[in-house]
Amino acid sequence: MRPSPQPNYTAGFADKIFQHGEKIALIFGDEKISYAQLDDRIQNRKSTWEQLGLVSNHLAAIHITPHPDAIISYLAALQAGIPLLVLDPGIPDETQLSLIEQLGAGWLLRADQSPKKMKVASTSCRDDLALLLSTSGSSGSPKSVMLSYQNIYSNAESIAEYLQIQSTDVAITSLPLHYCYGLSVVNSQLQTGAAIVLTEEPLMSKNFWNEVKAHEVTSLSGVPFHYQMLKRLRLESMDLPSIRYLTQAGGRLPDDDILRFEELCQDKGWSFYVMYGQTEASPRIAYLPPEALPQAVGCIGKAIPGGRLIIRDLETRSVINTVEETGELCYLGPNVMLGYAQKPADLQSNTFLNELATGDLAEWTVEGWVRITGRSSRLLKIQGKRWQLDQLEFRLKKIFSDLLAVTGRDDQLVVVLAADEQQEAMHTYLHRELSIHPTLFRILIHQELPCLSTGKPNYQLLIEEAEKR
Amino acid sequence: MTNTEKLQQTFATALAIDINRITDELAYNSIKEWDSTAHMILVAELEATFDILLDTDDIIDMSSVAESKRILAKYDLRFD
Repeated sequence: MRPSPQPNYTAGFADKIFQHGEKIALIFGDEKISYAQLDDRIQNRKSTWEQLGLVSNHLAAIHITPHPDAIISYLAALQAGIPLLVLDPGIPDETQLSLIEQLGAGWLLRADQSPKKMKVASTSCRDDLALLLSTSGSSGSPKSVMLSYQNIYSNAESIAEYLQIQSTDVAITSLPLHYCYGLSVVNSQLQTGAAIVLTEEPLMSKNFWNEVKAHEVTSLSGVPFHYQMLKRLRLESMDLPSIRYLTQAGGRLPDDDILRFEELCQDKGWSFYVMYGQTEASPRIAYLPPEALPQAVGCIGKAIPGGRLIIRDLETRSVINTVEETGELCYLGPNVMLGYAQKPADLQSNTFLNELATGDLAEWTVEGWVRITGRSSRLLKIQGKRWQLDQLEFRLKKIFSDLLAVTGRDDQLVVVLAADEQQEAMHTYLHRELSIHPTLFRILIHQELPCLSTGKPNYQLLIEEAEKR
Repeated sequence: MTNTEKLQQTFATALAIDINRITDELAYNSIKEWDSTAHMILVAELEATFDILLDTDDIIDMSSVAESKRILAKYDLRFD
């Protein structure tokens, strides 16, 4: 029996695993698991859970690692209607535990281990809730994004459509699976009946490329940081005859790099997809069709199939249709999240969000593409991980002192301190606790913080100063 | 500074750890500090320090400090 966890629920990829029969779904080392075998194991997993007392609509937490067992649990939960709090296994145990307790996840699911009963009771959730994802990286943000079955399934369908994924395609886990982009790669492959190589090997290791060659991987996905690595690895000199396309998302890739990779893909006969998204949109929002390059470099392109982009005036909120006029980028589509969750009561809400305000400033180009021109909220992406600077500033102030400011640009974080003596402690905290590499942040000392007439720190001035040094 | 000293200093900077922890046995992904980010920074720093351009295969082969010495030897660098 396949229960419908939602009244107007339409079945998605997780419900259709068995339809792909003997085709290969997962490749893990020497092990190849067909869709039929995968479905068997999913049904077994659901029976075991039933005996243990994991029930539909009750929250469980999961480590989705690149391991068949974790994928089986993920799909079993989607089929059984068990909402999942997706945890980053890399964050400290106590941070994970506090998230589990804060939202009420009664079980923790991990690869090759029995479900672990947690001290807290499982929160009963709205019946369309499928996943809870963290919005930021290693900070273990207390705010989670609530995604429905429809959100995830519709996004997987849209992605499979515009990337023209084929059932003969093979992807590889170059991104962590607790990260929405990484998970969306798995989802859209399963949507199509295609295969995924599960590996934890990093992009800069010999084993990763051995897997790519051995299993004739057809696509690679990466955030800007991965493209820096691909550049350094001199991708152009590598012999990868099976590759069909590359995708890039998770932050803005500099125009020079887009042009460089576009040219490289032209030479190799590959397609290069520059994409745009947010966790709040499950996550894909827009993509630039490869043939629009190089002319449309710097644009995020157009809405994914089934979605719609609009640009709103920042003051009046009216829709801007004029070319090259900046406003806030907004998105409408079946993949827009249900809302945010911080406490158990939020998991029982019955609200829907129609339109997502992205926080990005954008304009229409003459050719009809959307171009991002800036950010209206203070967000930073460091190696694909998102940091809300006001939140980070608040957090650092609580630990250190009220006299500090946090700013930055692209992938450089700047922390401004009033006193010398905290410099070392701050360095240690950013590096050890928040896992930010020392080359990716700077600490400035300012006895008096430069402020604007509003009393707020003059972030612009501070960035400029940091960049001069 | 000898090449070995230069190499140790480069590793210490790229991995952002104490120079005393840089031993031949230290391997990629064996400690939290030697992750993909650090590895990329390491490659950039090695190329700058020794004024060389590493081949793709050499970059992905560089799985430990000892291995890096073996690889750098191919670029006419000696580590005694």
